[in-house]
Amino acid sequence: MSTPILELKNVNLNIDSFSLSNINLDLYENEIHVIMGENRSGKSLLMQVVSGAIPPDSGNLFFNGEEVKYKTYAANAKKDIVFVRQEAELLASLTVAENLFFHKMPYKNKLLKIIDHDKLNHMCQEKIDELNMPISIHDKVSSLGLAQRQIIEFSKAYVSDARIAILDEPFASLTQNERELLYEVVKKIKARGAGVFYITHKLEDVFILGDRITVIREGRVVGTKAVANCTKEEIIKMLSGQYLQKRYPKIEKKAGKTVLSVRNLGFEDKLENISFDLAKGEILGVTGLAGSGRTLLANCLFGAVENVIGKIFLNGKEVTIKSPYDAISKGIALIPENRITDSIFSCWDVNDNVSVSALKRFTNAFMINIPILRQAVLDYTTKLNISQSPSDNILEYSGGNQQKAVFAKWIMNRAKIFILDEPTRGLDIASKIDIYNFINDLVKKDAGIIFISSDIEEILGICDRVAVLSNRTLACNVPTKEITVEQIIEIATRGDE
Amino acid sequence: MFAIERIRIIKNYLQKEKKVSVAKLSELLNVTEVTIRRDLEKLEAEGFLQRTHGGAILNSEPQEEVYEEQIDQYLTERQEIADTVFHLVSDNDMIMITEGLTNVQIARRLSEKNNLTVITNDLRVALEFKNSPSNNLILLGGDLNEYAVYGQLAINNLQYFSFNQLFVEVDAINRQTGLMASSISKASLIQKAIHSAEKTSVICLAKYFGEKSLYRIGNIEIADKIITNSTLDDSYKDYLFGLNIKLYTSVDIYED
Repeated sequence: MSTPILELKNVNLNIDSFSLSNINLDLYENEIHVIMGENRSGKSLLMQVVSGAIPPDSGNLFFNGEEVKYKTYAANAKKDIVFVRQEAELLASLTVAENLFFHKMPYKNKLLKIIDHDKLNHMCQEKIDELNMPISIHDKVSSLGLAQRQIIEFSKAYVSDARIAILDEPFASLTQNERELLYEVVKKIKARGAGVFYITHKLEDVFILGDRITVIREGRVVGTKAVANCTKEEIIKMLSGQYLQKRYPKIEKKAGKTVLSVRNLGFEDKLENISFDLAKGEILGVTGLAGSGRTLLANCLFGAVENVIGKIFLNGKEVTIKSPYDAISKGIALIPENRITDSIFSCWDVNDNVSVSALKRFTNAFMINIPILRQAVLDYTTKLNISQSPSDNILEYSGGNQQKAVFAKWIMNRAKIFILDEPTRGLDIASKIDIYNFINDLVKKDAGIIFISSDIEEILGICDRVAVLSNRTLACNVPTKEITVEQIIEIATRGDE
Repeated sequence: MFAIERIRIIKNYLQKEKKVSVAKLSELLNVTEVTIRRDLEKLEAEGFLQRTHGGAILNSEPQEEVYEEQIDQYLTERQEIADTVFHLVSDNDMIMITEGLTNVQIARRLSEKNNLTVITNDLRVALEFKNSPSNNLILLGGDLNEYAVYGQLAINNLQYFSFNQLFVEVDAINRQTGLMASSISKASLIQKAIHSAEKTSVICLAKYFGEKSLYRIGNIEIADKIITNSTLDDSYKDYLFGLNIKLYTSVDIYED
């Protein structure tokens, strides 16, 4: 091949304690370059740099073989690069045709910007026929489903003249047919001479579409390989890298009686046929790719979403959980993934945040016994190593201390089943260790724990069993001793059969 | 209300009033008499009070024991650590426990297990197993120094054994100097024991991290696990995680 359209050399970038280091990456014409990596490995940040949105701290950039300043590059990015993000960015009240040609409108009069609708519709119909899309050009985008919107997004990349197309994690929730249609569109984008960066979690995408693959881990490029001469095992190996499972403080505890049983749980078209058991003193790890429904599953169990189908049994008795109130009164606690919006009351101090779910126990004749409550909160915060004073506003706390306060809340409420959704994400190491040890204390005293995490190393380090969400259901549920990181990645990235 | 909270109130009350009835406490704390009795039992076990018919009186004179546990202000921390260790040992394990006050508490908890084989050089540890016939205790021989045996004889004795887990209580853990002991005989016995163990767990109260002691046992990396209490300084958590060592900061907070 000739010179690459785009080449990054030794690019470094540090943002919010996350860094991209020494990135070397290139892209040729007529090429689909697949980018893979775990959640938070830095793929999206890297693509932001490529798309001209975030300037790197250092490094060189070559466009068409010539070194360019990032400023110049970013200024031209609008015309040279098309970036299709995960969330559809279409204009819902416009028609398909208008959306598709939004940046290339045919005008009757260029000066007055009067749109030539006949020409537009004609051009659009041509493309739709060419791409064989099951869409009418006159449909409003708001009336279309997710899959169709995604197809239009991709077609925009095809219609545009951009020489580089970045497609970020498409196909998260599409059926096989829809996906094949999209594959065709991606191939056409390549065929018109553009270079495509294609970010995905699905291994099968690599072999269907990819010319080359680059794997990223913790902000570094693990390796770039030509897809034609590499195997599935090699890619999984690159993805998993070196894991250190040894350092997680785990205690031995024989699982007790089953405390929670879930049978055939389903939700809309996102989750189906989910069944599992959780015993007292057991930690069940749940992992899966972004968008596989991990958080949704947590919300289903906590009654935070409506119209959940299936049966839930607590201690062998069937229960209905219609709302978080039901869940809490039955001894279920949820520590949500998004701390700031879902789990703390940001206008309150820590006293209130910690005691809010346990007020009943400090109440005598409808009066809250404030001094005893304050004292109890202080006992908990000291025990949990929260260094600041409980009368400070919770927003003044560090992320680690906020999360510990959230733990204190549920521990104070004496929940029996804890659903932890990414409890250590974004925390400093010391707080992580504290949380692992809190979990040990819960397990010692027979609480059942559902531990949701995208960090496979962590899951294998602290859980007794691991279940993988893939294709809307639990694809496996086995003791952690019987599964490896590679196998988990393989299951999670498996497509529909 | 919670046990921690109740127990403190009961203690305060008793110290002032010297005696109390179960009914009075039950009214005061707004919990059932059964709960109060359980708390009193716990306090009696600690040697704080003596239960009487329908109440309790403050223990004025310290009970005579082989060693003076009452004056140990870190008893709670030691018990928390012991509870964590309890969950790290399985029935049928062969373990060694070296000398130390925390290790005595560990031994007390472990005596509830079945079919353990325990090797120790500490007489107090050995005594904890006196009423636990289902476990097998082996006491090393050697020169007695207060409550434990050391010296060449003890070290020679060690060569007959190999064990799954070794629990050593060290006198200090320091980033620069590693694991420390207060006497040369202790340091050399531990060094020897480490060679006979598959896994080594180091026990140390959080307040002794960063302190120094005279004799060096070895690098921190000798430890597979470090078990301490919850007040450990954050910088050590970071450091030990980086060394790939499992760190247990025993907390006792959740009530089932």
